[in-house]
Amino acid sequence: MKRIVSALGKLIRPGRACTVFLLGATTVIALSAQTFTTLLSFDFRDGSSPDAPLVQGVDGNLYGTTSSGGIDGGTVFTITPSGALTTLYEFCFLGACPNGGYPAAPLALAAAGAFYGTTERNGGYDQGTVFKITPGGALTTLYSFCAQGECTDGAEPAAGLVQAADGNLYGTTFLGGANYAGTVFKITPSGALTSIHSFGSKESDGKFPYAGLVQAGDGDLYGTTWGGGANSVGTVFRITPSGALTTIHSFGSQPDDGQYPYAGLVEASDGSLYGTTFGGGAYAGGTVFKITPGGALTTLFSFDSGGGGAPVAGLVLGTDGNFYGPTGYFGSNQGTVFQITPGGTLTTLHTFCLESGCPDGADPLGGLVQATNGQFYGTTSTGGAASNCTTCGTIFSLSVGLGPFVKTLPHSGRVGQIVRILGTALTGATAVTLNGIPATFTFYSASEITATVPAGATTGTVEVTTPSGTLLSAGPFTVLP
Amino acid sequence: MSKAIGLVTRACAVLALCASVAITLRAQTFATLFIFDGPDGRGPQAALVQGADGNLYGTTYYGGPGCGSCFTGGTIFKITPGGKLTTLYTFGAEGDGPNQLALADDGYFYGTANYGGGAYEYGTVFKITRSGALTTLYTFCTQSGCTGSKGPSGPLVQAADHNFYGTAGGGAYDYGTVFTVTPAGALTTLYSFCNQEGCPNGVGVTPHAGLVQASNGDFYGTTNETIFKITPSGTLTTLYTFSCASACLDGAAASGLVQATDGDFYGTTSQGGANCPASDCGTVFRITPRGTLTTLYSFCAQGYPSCTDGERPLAPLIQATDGNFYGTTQYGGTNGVGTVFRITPSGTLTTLYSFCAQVGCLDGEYPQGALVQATNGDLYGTTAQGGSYDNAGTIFRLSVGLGPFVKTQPHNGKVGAPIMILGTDLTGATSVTFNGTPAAFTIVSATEITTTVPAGATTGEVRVTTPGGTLASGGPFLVAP
Repeated sequence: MKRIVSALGKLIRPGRACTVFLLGATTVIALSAQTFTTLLSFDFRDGSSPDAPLVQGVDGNLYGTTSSGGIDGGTVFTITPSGALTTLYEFCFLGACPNGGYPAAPLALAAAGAFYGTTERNGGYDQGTVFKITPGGALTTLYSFCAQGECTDGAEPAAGLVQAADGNLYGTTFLGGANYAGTVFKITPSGALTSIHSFGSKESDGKFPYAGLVQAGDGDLYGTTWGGGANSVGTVFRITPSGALTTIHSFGSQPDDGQYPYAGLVEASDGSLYGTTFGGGAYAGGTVFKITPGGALTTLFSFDSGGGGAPVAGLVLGTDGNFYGPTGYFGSNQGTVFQITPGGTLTTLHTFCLESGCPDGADPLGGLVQATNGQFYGTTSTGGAASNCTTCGTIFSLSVGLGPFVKTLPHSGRVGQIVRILGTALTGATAVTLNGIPATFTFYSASEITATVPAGATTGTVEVTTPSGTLLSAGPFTVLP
Repeated sequence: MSKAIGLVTRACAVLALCASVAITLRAQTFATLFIFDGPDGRGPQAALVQGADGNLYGTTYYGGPGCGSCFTGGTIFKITPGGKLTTLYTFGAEGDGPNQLALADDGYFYGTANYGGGAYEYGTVFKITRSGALTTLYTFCTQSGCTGSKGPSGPLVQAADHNFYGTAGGGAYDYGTVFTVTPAGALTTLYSFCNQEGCPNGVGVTPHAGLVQASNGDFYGTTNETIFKITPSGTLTTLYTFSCASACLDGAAASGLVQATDGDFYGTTSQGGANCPASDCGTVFRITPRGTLTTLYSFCAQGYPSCTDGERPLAPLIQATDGNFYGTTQYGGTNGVGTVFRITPSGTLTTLYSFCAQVGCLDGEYPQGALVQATNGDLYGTTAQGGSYDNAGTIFRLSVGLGPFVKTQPHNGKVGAPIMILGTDLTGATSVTFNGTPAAFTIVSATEITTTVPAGATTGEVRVTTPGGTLASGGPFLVAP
């Protein structure tokens, strides 16, 4: 994400003065029931600067990217929940690098079990790529941006992809497009890319989408742009899979409104979308906000210098119904992990870099993921305790006492369709039900079973009965007509 | 032939442990309006200029369609106050490296290209319409061994005689020139600087910043070592020589000048100053028309090289409607990559924005050009780098709470002379006065009124009464005898 390159090629921030802005006080509550563990400190050779959140694979392990390190074009890696790391792919650094480089975005687990991702640079035209990588590390470059003249097909994707219910992957490019202000694109799993929207075609349009999309329950995709909109400080937009875009909010247009969102949105069970902004708010330290699909935005929390701020990452919805996310560098703070309730009560769970040298990491640019064992996993972009690199970043886990659960892949399907159910300690499972209707299932591994959407099933929670207890799905499985 | 620009990436070897993110400093709002990508231009270095249609017009020094990664070429673009950019012209055979544009009384923009054009590629003079039709008016040094002007690097200024005046390299001693060019393209070198014993009018080397026509009709300008005035017929007087023989306490390498409402000239130097007389800290100074120079501010007041107050101002100042001066520094600030500052006529400096306050420096780095106050009251500027991995620069807006006003074009004229008045929301205007004397006028559009200097008018403010209120010109209109 950074371009200030040191002699090592490590992407780091420029020097900053230690100015503390005392703009107001926020009361934050410290919880004592959580356990923070640094699982891994990168050492550059195995990657550096993980700027994106992790994603859990079918095998129960976590998969992610580093934006530099390896042979210095960044890496794709997998790490077990206990912290054993395997580098799956190293992007190249010098010369022609048709397979891309410097991935800043998370991977997306597709229904077939492979991952899809983007790189911000390199590729056929040095403007980034879309790639597919198997859990075993076989990488295929599906598309190189700027294949069309003047990059009307987009350039420099900063965000990851989302697989929509139609099976296609949707994403954004930060730049390029008809107005050089970024695009929304659709790409088939085999690599046929269609640009479905170019930002900046009119004054009120958003510009420069930094974040990825989320498909909401209404079938539309929702996202943010870092800039543009009525006040040139960002927007929230809705786009249909066919490309009809509506700006539903321009930031900076109401009291305590945020500015410059880097992160995308997460849909909660109340049908609203939740996100963060980097700047703005009551204390210029960014915000956590809630927005309805109709565009009614509520600032839930304004960060100040006292308890972290300037979040770059977005939120994840935990199985307890609360949201979890990190804050970045702000004031004298090197980043935190926080919990916020849907009502806006924020609790700081961990503060980074309280020890000299930041052995626990600093500047968590990526967000969190809740794995099926109930724990949260995240990355820090810098800091760490590797013997030869204390700025290469870390991977950490955070337990807040939430128990194991199951995820379905995909999150929706028709009667008769086979879906994956991912979990932990599934061995010996005796029953799978969908909204109470029993389903036939096949055991694959301790982390994966497959089930067939049963006749008569309706949208609702998936339950898996195992010898150690009943596991519920984090959200509802939607039965498609 | 490309002129050197500060493509110095300030590698920062220290992992910064503190940061400040102050996107909104209450009374001011910063917004990134556009991020260049290369094919749409690269490296905007010059100030923007407001056209009669209310849009801003500017140049990028490099890049353009088909030449996204080129460090040649260059573009002329239009950007709306809301941030929609249209590339109007791409340089190639007819010159490279366009400098700042000047809006002329015939409605064209006039400018110079620093190099390219002709067999020897010493640059051109051109005019361009608002829709992008470019005419090359003059090609510098088309003959071998040419001792005329060549390689202009500053803007043109249209004088009361309707001709344009500027500075260039080359000349009889190859130390630069002052030239004049008619709207039809007839160019005359008025003065050749020299740097030898016995040079008339003192030494002076390499004027690069263009001229300003003062209210007395003379032109004032700078070389690397001097401040001079020159009459329209070419008689040059050196007003001030920077004392760099031992240490440049009073600065060196001055920018272009601006004549303030108090009649004095204000400018910046990019080198020297009290805090690092042998390096690139720089100063802000005032000089009277007779040549008495006062250093108002020396950058790096915190001690070189921390320079959180800014370092190396390359651009001229502008005087805004509040009477204060606004400018940019190429280096320094919280993150070392440049600032926007305000300085009062008495020398009190306030840093308004430090670039790279955002992850990835998406808000830009290394501003080199002057600001412009648009008639909506906001300040607009460019950064030569930053914005994305392309590092191709940005356009930004900074609102400092100043209201709308009107500009006259030109700023002076005789009774009966046609005058353009530029503004915002001029529809429904009911009166135009010159220092209280009513003038007949025609409303051309919401952003343009045409009028003539009325009989009996005296030098003073122009006022336009609109349904939204009375708009005053930022400075006095000079009624020429």
